[in-house]
Amino acid sequence: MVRAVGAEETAPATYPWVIQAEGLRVRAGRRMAVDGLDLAVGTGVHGVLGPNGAGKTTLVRSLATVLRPADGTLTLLGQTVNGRLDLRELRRQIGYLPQEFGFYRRFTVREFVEYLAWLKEMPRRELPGAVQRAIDRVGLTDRADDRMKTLSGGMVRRAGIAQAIVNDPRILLLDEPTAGLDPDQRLDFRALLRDLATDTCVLVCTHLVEDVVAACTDVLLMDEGRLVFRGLPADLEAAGGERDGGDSPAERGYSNILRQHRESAR
Amino acid sequence: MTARILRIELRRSTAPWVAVLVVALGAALFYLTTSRDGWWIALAVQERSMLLLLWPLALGAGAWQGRRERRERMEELISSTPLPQWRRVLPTAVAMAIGAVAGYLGTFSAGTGRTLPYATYFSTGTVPVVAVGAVSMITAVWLGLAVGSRYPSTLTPTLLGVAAVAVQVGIRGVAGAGDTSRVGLLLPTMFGGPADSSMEFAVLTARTNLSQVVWLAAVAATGFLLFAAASRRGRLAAILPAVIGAAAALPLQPGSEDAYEPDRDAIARVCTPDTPLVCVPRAHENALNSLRGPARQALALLSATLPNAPTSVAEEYRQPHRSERQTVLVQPLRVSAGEFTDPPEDILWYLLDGAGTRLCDALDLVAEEQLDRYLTARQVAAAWLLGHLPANPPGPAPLSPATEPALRTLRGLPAGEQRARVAALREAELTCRPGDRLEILTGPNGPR
Repeated sequence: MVRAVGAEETAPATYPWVIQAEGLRVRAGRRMAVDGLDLAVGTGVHGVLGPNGAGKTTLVRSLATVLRPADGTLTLLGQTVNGRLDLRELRRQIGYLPQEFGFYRRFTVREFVEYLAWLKEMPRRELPGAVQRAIDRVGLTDRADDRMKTLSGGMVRRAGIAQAIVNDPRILLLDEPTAGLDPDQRLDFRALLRDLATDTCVLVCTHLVEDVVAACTDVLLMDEGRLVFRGLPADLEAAGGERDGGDSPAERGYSNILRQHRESAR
Repeated sequence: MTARILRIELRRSTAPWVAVLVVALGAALFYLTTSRDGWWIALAVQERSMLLLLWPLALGAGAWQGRRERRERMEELISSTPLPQWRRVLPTAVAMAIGAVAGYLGTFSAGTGRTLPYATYFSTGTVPVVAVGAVSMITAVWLGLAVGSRYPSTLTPTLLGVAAVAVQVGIRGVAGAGDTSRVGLLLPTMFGGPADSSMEFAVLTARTNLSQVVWLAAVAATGFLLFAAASRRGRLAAILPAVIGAAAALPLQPGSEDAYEPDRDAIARVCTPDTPLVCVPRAHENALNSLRGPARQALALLSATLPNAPTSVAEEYRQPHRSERQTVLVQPLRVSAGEFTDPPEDILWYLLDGAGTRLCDALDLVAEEQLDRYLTARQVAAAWLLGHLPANPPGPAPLSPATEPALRTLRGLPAGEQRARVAALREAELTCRPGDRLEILTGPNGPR
């Protein structure tokens, strides 16, 4: 299916980075979960790795405009988010799959994705087509008219991805998108990510180093609220030595970078 | 709000369940409680009284729906979307309103099974009674949505429903069961109507309906605004409509005296096309046929014995109760399911009481002995016309111990004298002239 492309989509961006953070600090409850993070990313798929409690989810929530930065500056699509009251225009261009993805159980997949498309203020005429396309892209075409509550865990995750991409977002934030997906589905998901990478800034938070290496153009490693490494997947693989823990070059690189960072911090 | 989203909410929200539950409970209440059937206005008023339970049910269902975002953990995702809150909640609120109103109207239709077969008169006053009830259902679900979304605990719907029943019962208790206080009339149940025996002759005054709808719509607006408010300031402002509504409705509310008025169409006489003429108020037209028998009997008995006997019978609601020479008038009788609930022999007794006359309120008999002699005289006249004294006549007064001896005294007189004395009693009652009535029938001097 061919989608109509609006003039605003093809207009050249007037900002250098899609997501730009300087000295960003974001609170999660009482804790400063993101604590002085500097980041600048553009179009492409950026995999965010890090141990539990590194601040990945808090970062994504602030990028999704759910949390307000406590300090520093956050600029999305050239607009400063700090202290802005009207985020409407910006939010239309964001797709978000939360880590704890809730959904209306009684809705069908199609109804749920359509409902989210409506919440994202998509033009009414484009709605049915965009919904069908998003469902097709995550491979739920034959379950489109089933209730959400009848879906398996992996299908729910895919429905979550469908709602995130339905508005063709400029910024796509996926928190643990591959949780519950079987190996085949993960391969399909990686292909979808590569497909999206051409015109979208995708930020994928995951524990799975393999997914990042396979599908991301860029690796970001977080620890204790800061960015500790940024590079190509190949850089991550090259960073590991034989004596680092892990079953693959990427995992060894991940362990090594974290260990070195923690040692130097001491 | 797009029609597509509304359609989704109509199917997937609690809206269809509200409709189903309200109809189920409402129909059960209709068929488990006894009522007099046969008038649309009585059906509408009965459904309003059922709001004591239907309203809390709708309130609880609204609260259940209001909890949805929290219950299904959608808050995170929703808070990242651009659509303003009030526009997001609009389809939910509209769907719930449609469900609640459908349930209310569905309940009314469920009650038509007991009304349609007997109803011959439709009071236009029925429409506002149903409409205000339907508005109150919107008030219930929207308030529920507001509370449920603000306090999304599992207990909220139940507690809210129970509290709503308790508050209504409490207000009834404070205001007094028979009292129609202004506050009581602003409850959706609008307790304190006319006595059940005369509901079919009454309508609510326009002021009553207006004040109720103003108040209920204002509270509904507050409910919606609370549900749609995204900030503390918004929630504070949401209280405003309810305050303004109360300020406007309370002075409008006419209070107990003028809440109801007689329905002019309902009390107008309708009569049989043939003779003897038998008439009833229009609201009792469905029972007209069951009055024919006793009416003919009474007229026959009267004309067989008395000069200038009356030629027609009418059940008369209109005040004041003044006898008519040509027509035997009887006070409004109890009708249900298209029939008088009194047996024909009782109706015959009512018609013959006082030789076919009504009680003379104008006599103003206060002394008990006087009143007793007055009522006894009327009973003696009825028993004389009937030919016997029933063991337990139905009224209007209990059988006096003096009746039987008085009847014997009357019967001891010559036949012509008996007739003359009963005719004289009738004449005295028609004109309501002062004087002892028992003396006319049994006194040594006779009527002259």
